[in-house]
Amino acid sequence: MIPVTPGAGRRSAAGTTPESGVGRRTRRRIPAGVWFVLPALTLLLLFRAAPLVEGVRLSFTEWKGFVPPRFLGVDNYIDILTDPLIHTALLHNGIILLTVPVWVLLPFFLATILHRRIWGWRFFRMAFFAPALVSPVIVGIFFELMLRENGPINTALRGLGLGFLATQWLVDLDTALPVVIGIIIWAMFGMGVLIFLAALDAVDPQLHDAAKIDGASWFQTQRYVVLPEISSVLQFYTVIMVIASFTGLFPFVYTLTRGGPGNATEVIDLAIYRAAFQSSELGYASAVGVIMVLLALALVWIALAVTRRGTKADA
Amino acid sequence: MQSAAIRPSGARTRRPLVLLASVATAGALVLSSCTTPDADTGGEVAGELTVWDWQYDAPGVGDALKQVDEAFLALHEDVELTHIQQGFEQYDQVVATSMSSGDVADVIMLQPGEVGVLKYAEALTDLTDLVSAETRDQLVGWDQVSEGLDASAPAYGIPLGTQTYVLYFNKQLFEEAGLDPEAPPASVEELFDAAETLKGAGITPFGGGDAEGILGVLWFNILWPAVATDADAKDLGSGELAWTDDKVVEIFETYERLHADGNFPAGVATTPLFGESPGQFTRGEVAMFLGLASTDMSYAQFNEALGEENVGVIQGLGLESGDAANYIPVGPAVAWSIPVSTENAAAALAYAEHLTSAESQKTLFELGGFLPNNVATELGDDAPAQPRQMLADWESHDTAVLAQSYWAVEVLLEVGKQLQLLATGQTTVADAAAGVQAVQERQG
Repeated sequence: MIPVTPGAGRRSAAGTTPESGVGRRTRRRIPAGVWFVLPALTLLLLFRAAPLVEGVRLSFTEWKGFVPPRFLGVDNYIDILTDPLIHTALLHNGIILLTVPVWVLLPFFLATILHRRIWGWRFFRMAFFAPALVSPVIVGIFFELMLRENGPINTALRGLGLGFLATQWLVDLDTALPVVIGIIIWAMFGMGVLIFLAALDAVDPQLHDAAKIDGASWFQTQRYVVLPEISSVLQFYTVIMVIASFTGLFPFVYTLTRGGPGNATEVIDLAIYRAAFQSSELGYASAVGVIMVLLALALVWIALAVTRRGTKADA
Repeated sequence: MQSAAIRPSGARTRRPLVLLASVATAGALVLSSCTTPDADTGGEVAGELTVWDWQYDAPGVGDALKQVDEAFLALHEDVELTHIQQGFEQYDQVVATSMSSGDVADVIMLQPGEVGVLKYAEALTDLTDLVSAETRDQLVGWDQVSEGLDASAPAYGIPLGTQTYVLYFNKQLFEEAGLDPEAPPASVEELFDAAETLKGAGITPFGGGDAEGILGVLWFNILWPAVATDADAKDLGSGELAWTDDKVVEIFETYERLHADGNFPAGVATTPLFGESPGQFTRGEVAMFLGLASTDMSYAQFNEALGEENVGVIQGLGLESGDAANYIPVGPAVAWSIPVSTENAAAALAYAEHLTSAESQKTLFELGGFLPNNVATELGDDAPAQPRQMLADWESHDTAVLAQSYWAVEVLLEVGKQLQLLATGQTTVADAAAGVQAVQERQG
């Protein structure tokens, strides 16, 4: 069979093609698929990879944002080691990270209940998902209003004779962080319910029937049949939540407490914002950003390893 | 006619208003022939001009700015002016990133002092030799736009308006409590006595909100001159005076005492200062409110709600009572700067000078409640009593900039945080002072 090549039908009288032999060979070597992905790849390099590289470069500089950066070496990273605000923020991120199992298991648990098509399950599915439709900024402002000293929640508590429970939820050093975490979980779990519900619906019903015939209990069915079947979704959601526990907190914390009282709810993405836009230390902010990305990557790797091991054990 | 506001920030001597106004006016006349071609004389400026601020669409001030713009365009018909309001919360980010790309406006409004003009000095035009002698002489507050907060050093902006924290009081509530509204508290101790009397009459003494963690900064600034000098404030800002010093501790203790025993409404810690808390005063729920001299949270808003005759002003606690008080803190409201990247510096300078002229400042005062910093500005006979009193106070006493003018932004935020914790009983004075000192040391 004679291969059809571009320009084959345009052979000149002298026996040569308009394209050079080298160009033709190059085209032959590059698979057609590359040309298809090239536009997307270009955009990815331009808007993802290049800023990432630039961010790393800036982390080694002192840059106020409006004059050329000055090379500092690793000074920014050394400063991070001795910056108590960053340490406090990382500690709070660590505490929030410890609650990620709740972020994952709560929606999974609720999804398994809804999956049994309990009475009013459609309403609950919508009710659970509704907070996920609301912007985090709106959620923050809403709860900031609700939780004021004279706000509806304290008023309700006083009205119920539980006035001793009323407190300055977002200004009290003891309650501010737990309340912020609770609000973030409330705002995010609906998405998890929806994702897990879809995953549960995709599990082959015959597996449930087989488990029932084998005499498996509801818990055993979930543990040995359902969980392995939806493990990839579980892994995906866990990874997303781990990342969110580092990079998705800013809109909530900024609108609820701005990191206060004192530094009681300071988190790493808020600290980056402060360094970049309040102190105009964009080089330092970039260094903190690099640390955050590395930490998030490490945690994602750990999360994947843990969930994979769990899945293998289940299998 | 009421004469202008004259408060040379940092001045240590009393300067009679009329004398300085006369000197400035005479100087302006003599030097008028020496003004730059860009001065507001309808000179040869043309081309496109972009202006950024955070107030152009605000009621009052925005209306005044629009009127000032129209007057400028009437003088400079060949200029095509685009005036844009950027969001206040994002203003610094917008300015910094735009400066970075060289795509910033030709004239930009900035905060005076270290948190604004001086932070961006490297990217701003040195205006020292460019502004007309008339502008230089007529405006006060040059130290707040000059390198090292020294008025004789290079200036990177033109100061506009006057701003400070002022304690307003409700004369009607004072009377109801048996206090003389014409003899308000003149010292910190008298303030506490008045608070006790008001509480005895069932009236909440002070209004405010601290959800943003900034209320303490306002109070610190008005309490500071009662125990320390402007030089101390400068030392505190530079780190030569520690935040654990007795003077700072005394202010922290006063602030802690201020928040004791129901002096503020319940929920003050979770109420936003801006937007919501002035309502406590305008609704007559509290007797005193620490607001601003100009624009928002000022006499303009309070007079409208309570009536001009019911709103009093307290400044310079301790000045008249023999306390250690030694000056009234006051400074420019904003500054106008010209980025080095501007391609139309002549028009930019002409516009900035036009904005700060006596006539423009009168418009800004009348429509926006912006107290002037131009000695040639005449307020008019129908000006409300409060700005008249403030101007008179500033003329008859020494003035200097707010203590916070010397602080880095990180220190300012930490002071707010620590005083919020102190007000809610979650830290001690010693720990609060040490907390700020730690941040100060980190800033160098």
